[in-house]
Amino acid sequence: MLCHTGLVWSSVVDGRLLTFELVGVNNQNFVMRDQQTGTWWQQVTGEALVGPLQGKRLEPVVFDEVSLQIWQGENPGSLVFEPIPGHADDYMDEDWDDGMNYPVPAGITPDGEWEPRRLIVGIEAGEISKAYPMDVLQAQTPVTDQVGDVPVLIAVAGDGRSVRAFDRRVNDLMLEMYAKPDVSPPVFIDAQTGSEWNFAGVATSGELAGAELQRVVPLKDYWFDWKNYHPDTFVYLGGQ
Amino acid sequence: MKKLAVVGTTALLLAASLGVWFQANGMLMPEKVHTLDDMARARTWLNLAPWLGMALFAVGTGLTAAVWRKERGRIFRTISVLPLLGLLAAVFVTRGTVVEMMMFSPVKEARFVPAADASFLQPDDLVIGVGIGNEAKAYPVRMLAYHHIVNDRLAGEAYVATY
Repeated sequence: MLCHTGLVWSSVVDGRLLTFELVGVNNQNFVMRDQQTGTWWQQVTGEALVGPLQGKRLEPVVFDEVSLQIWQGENPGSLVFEPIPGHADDYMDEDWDDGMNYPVPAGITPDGEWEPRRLIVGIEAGEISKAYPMDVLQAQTPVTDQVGDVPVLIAVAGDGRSVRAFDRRVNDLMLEMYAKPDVSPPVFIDAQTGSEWNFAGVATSGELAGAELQRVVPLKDYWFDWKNYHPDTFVYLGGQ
Repeated sequence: MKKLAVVGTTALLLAASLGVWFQANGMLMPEKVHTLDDMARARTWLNLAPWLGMALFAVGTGLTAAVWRKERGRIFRTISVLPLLGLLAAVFVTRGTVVEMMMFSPVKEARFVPAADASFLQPDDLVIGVGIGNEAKAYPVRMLAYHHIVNDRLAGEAYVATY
């Protein structure tokens, strides 16, 4: 894969239902074509690049990128997309993204010390965006930080890959969060009330029991791709 | 010499048909950075390519048929159909882009099993999960990274899951 972005977009644009197919690659990220109008859409931004709907944007649908175990634990009735007959052997290996070193074109290689294909978690809050290197998050989880006006909590589960982010404001409190050691999926305790929070962002015990943190949808992406679409992005330097 | 001119012309039509297609595809290659103009040009040419391919195939067929009737030599007849076969192949090739033909196995109809029965996955396999109302669907990343696009709906909402 050239890119690393899982995203879910609404298929309805101005009341019209569109069906998408893959047509090409632009900036190392794929381009979709809708069958109804022939417009070309950039997968990572949801933007109509060329064609009759040029300038329109697809509406994001809230999604999660976590392990099956965590997803199933929270959604016991969930359905799972099953292999298409004849393709079971084509699917990526478990470690498919480890050896990803496809060269990045010079025009979109960012300056600076970070490797273009360093895996990051990107957070957007209004006009402000910030990139958190995955390896730093893994080492420091949970990370509490601020993106623009939004105080965020970003956490990685014990599998090292399931990532979630939350707005850590509840009522009038801005919570400082700590993780219980060696628990996965993670359990957090806030410093203000000592309440316990699960990985879904719901307080399960303590004074705030029943409260729920608002989700912030994080985007796992390669650094070069995030930087290309967020040229003014901040970067998290991890406690430095 | 006229008969060879016809074969040569048909071969040129083949080159034109594939040339347009390759040039348009060149505007979409992964190693390049594109401007919106590149993309617009590529889209125009790729929309045109299948029609052009069919038109050139029709012209080539007409030309070749005309000399076939006059020339009975077996060697010549064999040679004369070669560029025509190429044109026929071009009709099929120009219907899509290189990227979509090499990278895309469309999912015509996604099928689902209850999570408890998903024995084709390990517990730590990543999924893209969508929850709407009380309904939930998960798309394993390893599968989505291969198919790239699943057009689907849940609880009445239509969306496209992509990776």
